[in-house]
Amino acid sequence: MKLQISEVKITVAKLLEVAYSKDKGLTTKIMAEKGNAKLVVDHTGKATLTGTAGFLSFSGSPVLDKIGVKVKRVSIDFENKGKMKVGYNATFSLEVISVTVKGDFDLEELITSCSGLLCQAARALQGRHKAYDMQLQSIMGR
Amino acid sequence: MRALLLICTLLLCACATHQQTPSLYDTFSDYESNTNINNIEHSSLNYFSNKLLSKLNLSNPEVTEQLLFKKYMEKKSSNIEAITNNSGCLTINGYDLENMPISFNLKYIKSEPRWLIDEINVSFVNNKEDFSETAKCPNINNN
Repeated sequence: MKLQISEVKITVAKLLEVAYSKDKGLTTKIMAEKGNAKLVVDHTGKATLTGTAGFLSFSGSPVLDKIGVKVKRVSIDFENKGKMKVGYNATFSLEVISVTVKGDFDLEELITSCSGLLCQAARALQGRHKAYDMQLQSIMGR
Repeated sequence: MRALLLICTLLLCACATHQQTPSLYDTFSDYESNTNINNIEHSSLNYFSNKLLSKLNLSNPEVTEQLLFKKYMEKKSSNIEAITNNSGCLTINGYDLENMPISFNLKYIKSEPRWLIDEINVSFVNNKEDFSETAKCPNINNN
């Protein structure tokens, strides 16, 4: 199975969503701060979101386990360009290849969709929710 | 006269026996034309480095699918390569099945007489203006 661009984009959003569900205030601070932030998920599934406002650790495994291929590492660089517009460059390292996706999203839109009917991360992660995935994909572009 | 003839003969022999190493793109084209799901397990040694293959279970369909990463790109538009001694970087720009811009950034290492793929990055870019105009190897910081 090929890792598709849409899957990468949805996964980036879902990782942010898990961070948000763990610490709403800190995640928003890190992401809303103008400048750079980084999210890394290592081979054990440990995820770390780092920015000038601080850092947050959480488990990325529930998100990555939903992807149909084995992901060894995830590295996402975010750049907040101001006015809630966030650019990202996400690289997913698989068994043989790495897949890089660039995009941007509106942070406010993502948080709103998240804190609305959909953000119960646990509920969302328990099963694939097609409408929800489509909404995330549309927020993350393409 | 005899000495001159001898020198010419030696030069001709040297030229005939010297095999030019193919370009990285020629090597990629060879991989692209001659690999498929039925032969990739056995032909992988012709195209991929030992370092890349040594960690892989070639009977895993997920692995063989990724060795056939060429399938991500439907149409090629340009390629750039840069070689330094025994390694090189090849960037191929093109479009995927949905006609969206995509690039392959490949690291090659020389294993006489051929080049072998050592690292592979498949990069989806926002638009064709983002295509790299220089040869890029995969960014090891992200891998």
